[in-house]
Amino acid sequence: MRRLISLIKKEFIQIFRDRYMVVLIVFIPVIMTVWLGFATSNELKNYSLSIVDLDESRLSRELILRFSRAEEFKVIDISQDHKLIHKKLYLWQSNAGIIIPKNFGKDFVLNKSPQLETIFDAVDGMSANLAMQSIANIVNNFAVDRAQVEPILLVNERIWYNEDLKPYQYMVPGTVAILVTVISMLFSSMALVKEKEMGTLEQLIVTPIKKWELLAGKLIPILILSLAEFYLAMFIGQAVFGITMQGSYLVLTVLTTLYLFTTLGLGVSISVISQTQQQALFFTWFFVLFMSLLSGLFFPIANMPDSIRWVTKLNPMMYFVAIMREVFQKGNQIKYLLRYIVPLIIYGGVVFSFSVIKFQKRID
Amino acid sequence: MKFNLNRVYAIAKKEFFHIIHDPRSLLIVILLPLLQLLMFGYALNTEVKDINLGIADNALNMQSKEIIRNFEGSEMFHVFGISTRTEDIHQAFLEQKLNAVLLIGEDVNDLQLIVDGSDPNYASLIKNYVNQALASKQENMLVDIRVQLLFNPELKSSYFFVPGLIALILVMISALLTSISITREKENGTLEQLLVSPLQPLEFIIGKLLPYVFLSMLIGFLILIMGLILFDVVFVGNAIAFTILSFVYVCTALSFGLMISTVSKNQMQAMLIALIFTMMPTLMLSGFLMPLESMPWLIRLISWIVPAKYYLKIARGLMIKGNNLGELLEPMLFLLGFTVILLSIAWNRFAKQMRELK
Repeated sequence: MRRLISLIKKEFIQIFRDRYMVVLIVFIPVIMTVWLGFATSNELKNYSLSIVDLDESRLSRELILRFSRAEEFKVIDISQDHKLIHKKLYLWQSNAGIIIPKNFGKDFVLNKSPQLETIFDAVDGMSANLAMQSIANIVNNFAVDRAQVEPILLVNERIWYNEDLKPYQYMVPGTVAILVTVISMLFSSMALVKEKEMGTLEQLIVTPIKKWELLAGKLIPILILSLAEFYLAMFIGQAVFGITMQGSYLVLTVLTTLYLFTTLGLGVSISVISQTQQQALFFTWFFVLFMSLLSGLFFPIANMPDSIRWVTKLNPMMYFVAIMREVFQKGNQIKYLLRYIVPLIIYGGVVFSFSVIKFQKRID
Repeated sequence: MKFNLNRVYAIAKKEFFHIIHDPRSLLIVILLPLLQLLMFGYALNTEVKDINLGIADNALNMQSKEIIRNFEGSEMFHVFGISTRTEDIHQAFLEQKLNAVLLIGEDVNDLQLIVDGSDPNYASLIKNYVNQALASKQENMLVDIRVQLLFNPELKSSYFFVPGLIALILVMISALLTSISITREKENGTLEQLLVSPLQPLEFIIGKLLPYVFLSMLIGFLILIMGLILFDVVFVGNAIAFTILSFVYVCTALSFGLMISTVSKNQMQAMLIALIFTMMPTLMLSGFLMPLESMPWLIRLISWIVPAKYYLKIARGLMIKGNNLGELLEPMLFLLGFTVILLSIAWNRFAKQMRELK
């Protein structure tokens, strides 16, 4: 036990002696949380529109006014030349164009349902889709107001757990998930490879330290460090964005520790199969990117093809992101989270024991 | 002493041997990006489906049945019955059986939609699609909106994601490659040996860069070809222009890696910086996932220094829109500017460190 404690002490001294690293460790959670919290938005804003008004009537001008007032759109020019739109879309100057035909106002008053032509730059199909819906909404509202007919259906919307659809409420805990994954995997994958590459592993071999002590001595500091990063990022999220935690921090801490067993195990496995720090880095990169993009944080898993949805079941981070979401946003109970917790226990057990077995206190 | 191309060549050759000397690393470096494109190319093929919608019908008339039938007929929704009690809805959300609930009041016109907002991105998607499904039932064609979709008429998500993935994978692999190239020499103490040689810092920096330019370009081509074959993305632009502009982008990323390499003391630091500062900005601040226009002004301001933002325009412009080189001059100049600035920083820092070693 004394040996283990001195080993843990040694690791901590090694981490904190590197001043620059300490700065990075503190700085990265701060910048990541603030960045991702601000940089995500789930709604369309400032989608640029070029409008061609061939009608120039009172009604067409009113319609244009509605577009310029909408937060979703930014009307960048109004002209009479409809050839301009294609050029503008082609040259990235505008996202979409609307052509208001001649006699639009007259036809509308006569109930002849005038045609409104819309042209989209569909390279970004998702945004084009959102813009299409917004345009339809604005035009519909305009038509209903002007023609003075009753709207057929009125939908009253309520969003539970996140009334205003604030993206950072979800993204900050998600960022924390990425952060603890990167930190725990990078540090644990480096832990052994570095000693291998630097030749200091030989020195450890001649000491009476046992294999499990060496492993525990390496991993416990990383576990503590990852949890510290977790709290630091959560604290920043609350201080900067005022995100609210619905569940209990105790539950979340226990489940985060459970998740870290998997990432630490993956890190050690990477260090076993890598010969150089560079190789370890590339494997870590591969896993981190794979785990983040297929975690459901950036893209809803329900929308993915079935084969990929099956692959995401192999992604430990998918379960962790779901746990974070459920506990953080809904304050969900453990009994409803078992479908995520059980795979994490299995995953952690298998990966961690595999890495412990494969981890050898020797040189080939 | 003058800048000597022979010495640059010698360093490049040494670095090149260094790379092929370690075939295992080389294989990893080439295969992992391909595997990633393969996986993400399929995964990001997003279409909205399988929304679990609970419907409580209090009207029980023709109109309300029509609404329910409409949702049941759609491939996007799975419809379940539910009571109007708040506790039941809450319970269904906690058990994650439903994503949204539509309450039809005794008067059909009184509709209430409740969405589980714990994932706000998904929630706003659901909200939009439910509204769209309801709106399609409205028959007041007061204005007839015609839609024309340019460049991607079928709205394929691969047109959007494949260029983005190329930008992401290319910048990460390039920066990771060079980020540890100098720190490794620092850590192994081989940098001191260079002191006794007549090598100039700039020659060293350029020599280090060259072999990785080829390696990154090779990886870039492989993922492009794979993207074109597997995900049936079009390539309407000029291949030569694409090569030139990708070359510039790769140089920017490699210079960024070199810069990291000169400011870090060991490989661990270099990796941490390279990993975080290529992945996060490229994902979030380039327009890869979300259009930049929708973001707050501060984020839009920061995005000006994200190289992937420019390359994304280049890749989408050349592959999908068919822009020519002249129309992409602005992003190219930005990337060139970044490369020069990053290389100067790397050169400066490295020269200073060499002086300190002496």
